[in-house]
Amino acid sequence: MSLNSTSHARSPLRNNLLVNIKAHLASIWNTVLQISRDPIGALGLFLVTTIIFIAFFADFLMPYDPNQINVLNRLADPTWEHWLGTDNLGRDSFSRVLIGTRVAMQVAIVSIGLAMVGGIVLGLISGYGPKWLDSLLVLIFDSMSSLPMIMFAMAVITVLGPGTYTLIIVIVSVSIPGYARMIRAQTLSLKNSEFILAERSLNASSGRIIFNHLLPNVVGSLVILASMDMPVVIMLEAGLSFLGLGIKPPDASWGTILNDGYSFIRDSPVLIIAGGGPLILATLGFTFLGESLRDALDPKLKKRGSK
Amino acid sequence: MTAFLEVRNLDVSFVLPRSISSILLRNKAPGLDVLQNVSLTLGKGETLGLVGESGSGKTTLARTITGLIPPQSGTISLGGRVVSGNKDKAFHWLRREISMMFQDPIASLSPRMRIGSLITEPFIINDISIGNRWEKAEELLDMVGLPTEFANRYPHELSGGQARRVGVARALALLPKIVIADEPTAGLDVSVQGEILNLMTRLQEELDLSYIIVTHNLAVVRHTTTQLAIMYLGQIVEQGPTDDIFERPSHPYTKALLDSEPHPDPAKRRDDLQIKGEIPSLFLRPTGCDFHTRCSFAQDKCRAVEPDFMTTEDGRLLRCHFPLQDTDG
Repeated sequence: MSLNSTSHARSPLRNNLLVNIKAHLASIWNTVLQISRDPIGALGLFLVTTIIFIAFFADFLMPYDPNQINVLNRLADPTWEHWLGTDNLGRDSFSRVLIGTRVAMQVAIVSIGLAMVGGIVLGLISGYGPKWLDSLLVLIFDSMSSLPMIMFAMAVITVLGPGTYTLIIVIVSVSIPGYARMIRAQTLSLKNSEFILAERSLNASSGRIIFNHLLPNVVGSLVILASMDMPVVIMLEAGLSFLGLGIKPPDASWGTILNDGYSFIRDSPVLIIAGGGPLILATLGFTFLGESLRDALDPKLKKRGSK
Repeated sequence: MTAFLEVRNLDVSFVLPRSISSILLRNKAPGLDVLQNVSLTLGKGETLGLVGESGSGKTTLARTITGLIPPQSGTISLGGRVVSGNKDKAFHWLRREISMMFQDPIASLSPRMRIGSLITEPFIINDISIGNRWEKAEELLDMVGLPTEFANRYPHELSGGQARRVGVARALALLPKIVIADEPTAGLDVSVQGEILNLMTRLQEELDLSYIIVTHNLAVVRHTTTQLAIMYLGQIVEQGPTDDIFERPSHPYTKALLDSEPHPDPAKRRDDLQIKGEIPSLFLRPTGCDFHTRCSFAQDKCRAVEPDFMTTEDGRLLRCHFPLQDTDG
């Protein structure tokens, strides 16, 4: 680049924000395209889109009220009226599975969202803050992850009583340490890098360094971790509900449907399939999508060439 | 030479992790003395070269001057105003006057920010109103000879030389009085090195700057600096006008360092004053003169007594018991 090649073309920076949004949308679209080219990724994308669609429009898709009891028609086999049969109280299983999808998604998305926010905040504090606070937080993270999850969940539920909110509290508190540790590790490796020193040499405040310079550089990997965490959280919700520690019975959840199916497995095997099928599909869908997303976003891990 | 920037008796030591027993016994935390009693002066409009081998504390000194590494003791003053205390806040006014260019041109730019934001960031941080941010960015890019479209790019889209120019723009945005450039030519090919140095020289004249150039590239030092300070193991061993030092090095280390530079004429190559071994570990600082373990002229006094700074007849600062008299041998 020679000194004289300065061009005086007006830069497109004036509508910088618009350019920014366009660029982001384009890069998201590119990622989606890249995922759909991978067969596993395409399957994952299809399953996840379907599940999210169902979760959104469950009210319109449900043929019956999921809590409508009809004891005359209990444990019925699938018919054209009841696609997945009915349960031990004569409730329509298909409607219950659909509403259970919404419950599963709500719990998973809310808890992962909260865990991400909490993880980012605690991770940044731990990584950039004073040493004693870091040691304290790491100690807390380590003790949290050393507790057996089910035991911890039972303890919290005993205190707070079962319910959706308790479930979210449990899931958030067991997931935060993982996110926070990851953010902490990245913050630690970045905080002595030259660009942070350069910001400090310009008198940048800690707040500015954390929000404008550390945060944008640490959140990227969190998206992948969160998408890989979805199936874990869905399983956890179903598992706790199955044990009667999560969603409170009359409300439907994949876990409560499974529990009903388990109790009446000699009378109707359909019920256990109705509860377990969507759980398997959701878990697979999010796992496939997560793995494909990781490959798409992190070129270093790309294995496509060897396939 | 009237001193503009004055650094006096600077000590920097890094605290080493303590063992549990030493915490319980309330022993003092062990320190690693990275800089020992460093004094330095820089006149207005001058260019000071800071040379020494890797691990001699050049970069640490540069970072300490701007308060990025807190000094244990010593004073830093600029234009008569002294930095008081070693709190980060105490250095704020100084950092407005002294800006830094970091070693790695690309890694010293925040990776998720556009160049336009990066070079105008100094104004935002220091609350200086500049009207239209993008016009200012274009003006700065123009100053360092980059096309204005670069304002929209990200650091990883630049070459080393382009990123270095961005570093120059960022360092000069607030019109500082002094620029500390840490290895301004590292990682650049020779023609780009020349361009960057020419740019820096041009801007020095235009903006009335003083430079501290940290480098181990002796060719760069010879052609751009007026003053030279040679560092060894966290101490300055010799300081004086560049031309004098290149002509008649007084400290054995200086001479060895200058002789190590490859000479284009094979007949002129001298290997009578080769330096032996490695730079000693900071954990085991030699007794007496720090350089005696590798010095060809070391005597008993060097091994026992630490030499003090002395001023030679021609105004050079020197830390040696037996300075070289005749430099032809």
